[in-house]
Amino acid sequence: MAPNNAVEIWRVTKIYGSGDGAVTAVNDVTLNIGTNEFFTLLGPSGCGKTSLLRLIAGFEYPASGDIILDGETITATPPYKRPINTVFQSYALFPHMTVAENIGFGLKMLDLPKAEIEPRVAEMLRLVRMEALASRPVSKLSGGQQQRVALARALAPCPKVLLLDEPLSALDYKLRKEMQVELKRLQAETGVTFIFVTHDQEEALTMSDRIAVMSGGKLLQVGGPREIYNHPANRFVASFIGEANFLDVTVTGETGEGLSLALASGETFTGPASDELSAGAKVTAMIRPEHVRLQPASGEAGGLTGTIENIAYIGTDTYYHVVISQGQALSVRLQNRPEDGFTLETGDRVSLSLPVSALRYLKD
Amino acid sequence: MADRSGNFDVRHQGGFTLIAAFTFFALYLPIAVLVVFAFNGGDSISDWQGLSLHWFYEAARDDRVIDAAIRSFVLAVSAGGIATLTATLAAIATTRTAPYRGLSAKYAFINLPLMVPEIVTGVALLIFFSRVKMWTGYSGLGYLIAAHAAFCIPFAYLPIRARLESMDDSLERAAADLYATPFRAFRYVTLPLLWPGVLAGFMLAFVISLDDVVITEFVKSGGQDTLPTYMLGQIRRGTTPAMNAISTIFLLFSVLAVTIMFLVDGKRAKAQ
Repeated sequence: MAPNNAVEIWRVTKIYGSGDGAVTAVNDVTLNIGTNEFFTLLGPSGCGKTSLLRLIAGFEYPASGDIILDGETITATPPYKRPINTVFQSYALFPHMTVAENIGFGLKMLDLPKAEIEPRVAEMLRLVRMEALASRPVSKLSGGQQQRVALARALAPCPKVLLLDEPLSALDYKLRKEMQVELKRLQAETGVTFIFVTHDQEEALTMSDRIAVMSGGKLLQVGGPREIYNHPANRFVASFIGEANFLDVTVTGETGEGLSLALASGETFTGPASDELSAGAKVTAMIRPEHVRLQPASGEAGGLTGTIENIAYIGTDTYYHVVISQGQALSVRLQNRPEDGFTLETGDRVSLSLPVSALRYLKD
Repeated sequence: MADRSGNFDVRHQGGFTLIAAFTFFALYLPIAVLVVFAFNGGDSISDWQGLSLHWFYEAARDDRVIDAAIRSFVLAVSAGGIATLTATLAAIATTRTAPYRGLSAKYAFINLPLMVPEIVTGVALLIFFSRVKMWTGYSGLGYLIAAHAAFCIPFAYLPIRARLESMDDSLERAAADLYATPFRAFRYVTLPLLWPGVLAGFMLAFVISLDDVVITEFVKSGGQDTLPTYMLGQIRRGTTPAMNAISTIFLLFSVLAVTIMFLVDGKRAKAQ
């Protein structure tokens, strides 16, 4: 067991209910989370990410598999004996206590003397910039302030791992952006391992050292933000993180640059070389909208051409929905730059080019 | 009928105000009359003969009234206390566990005293306790306390369970997450938040025990009159405004209890 893993999750399965109504929330997940890592569990609601978090916290116990913290098996340890703290989605602050009492609760339950609790609480208040509100009842706080108290309360006992269950989902956009920066700062300052649960891919990409993408209780891919975005393991990951165009193609042969690919309607283009694919193979090719190049059709033969069906202007960029042939369309995202010499209208014929380096072959 | 915004509103039903006024009239007029005649100077409960506190004085001077009042109070406090403790434990056991087979049967079992006719319980207890009295020789207030506690449990249980169900159970999870053992989580988080529910449950049990007649009448030993059974006995022999005076004090007590409960709960609600 590697010493630099804070948490090891080994073949963990969690089933809710029994008989016909049984739901497998977490399906045979194996995962290692490094010490001091900002690790994100990402997936749509119901994918099992929160269940996995609850298993790590100890609120649920797995049907099979093991959870190991710093080399010690904690699979059956009750939550109050695990040096792991949680920031709850609803914050779960104790409404009958002040800010300081909330933050000091964990320390009090650890039976630390008052002389140790007080400076630690003061330190936590400083860390989350809430010194002035120490004696305020938590019910008198704004959403953002409650969030900070929840963070301070969970960090006060110096846990080995901090679990964050969609903590930013209740905040408005601006506050959410601020708290994202704040969380990164707190993680850097405390050096605690963060396990962060979110369904927001942008949040995951911005904040994480590594991301685990989950769906239907299964782990689909684990990797850094760039790796996950640029090399998605399958169609689900590609479409869940960022936007993606999928083209169903048949490999027709090899060229000097890579593989020659043909759409069902006959148009051909070149894709990257692959050892796994040979002539005749059917595969899905993926390209991100911002990687497609687009120009007014020049009349030259060859390459892909299409008709603009729809244009959506979003300020920094413009989306073009281009139909290549029946049933096959591409979404293209172009940055709006003043020096662009052309304007495109709905109904215009355009030529498309798909850079070989931006194309990916996907399974499923 | 609907108002202009298209929402159904009962106030726009024809005759609603009239029916409401009549209902309040029918409910409260007799009580108002009773209270008024408690202050009657003469010895009639229907002819007004001048304002006086005479009958309050008379009632307070009567040893049997004082004796019965003390017994009622002791009984209501003990039975209410036992019922509240039992109901609190039952409420925790039925709300802070994952749903299991037999849970609804358990609800029904706890609330059974609400459904069983009091007269049946009374007769059953009379037979049962007379045997127990013969075996043990004990004939004190214990029987009444046990009987009252039993039928007060569902009254205490309902508000406590309602409070527990409305409480966010993630608070208890948060306590466990912050190193609180199950007992300490209860002591420091659940109980302080549950307190208004417990108080409401106790008040309700207290009031229910205080004015019970049927079961008390069957279970009590000789010389164990509570205020309601004493009053029943007196009314059989003809009434004086002393009964009105006792009833008025009773009423005052209930109003006071409800007001205190309301204030405590209101303060809680504001603090949250």
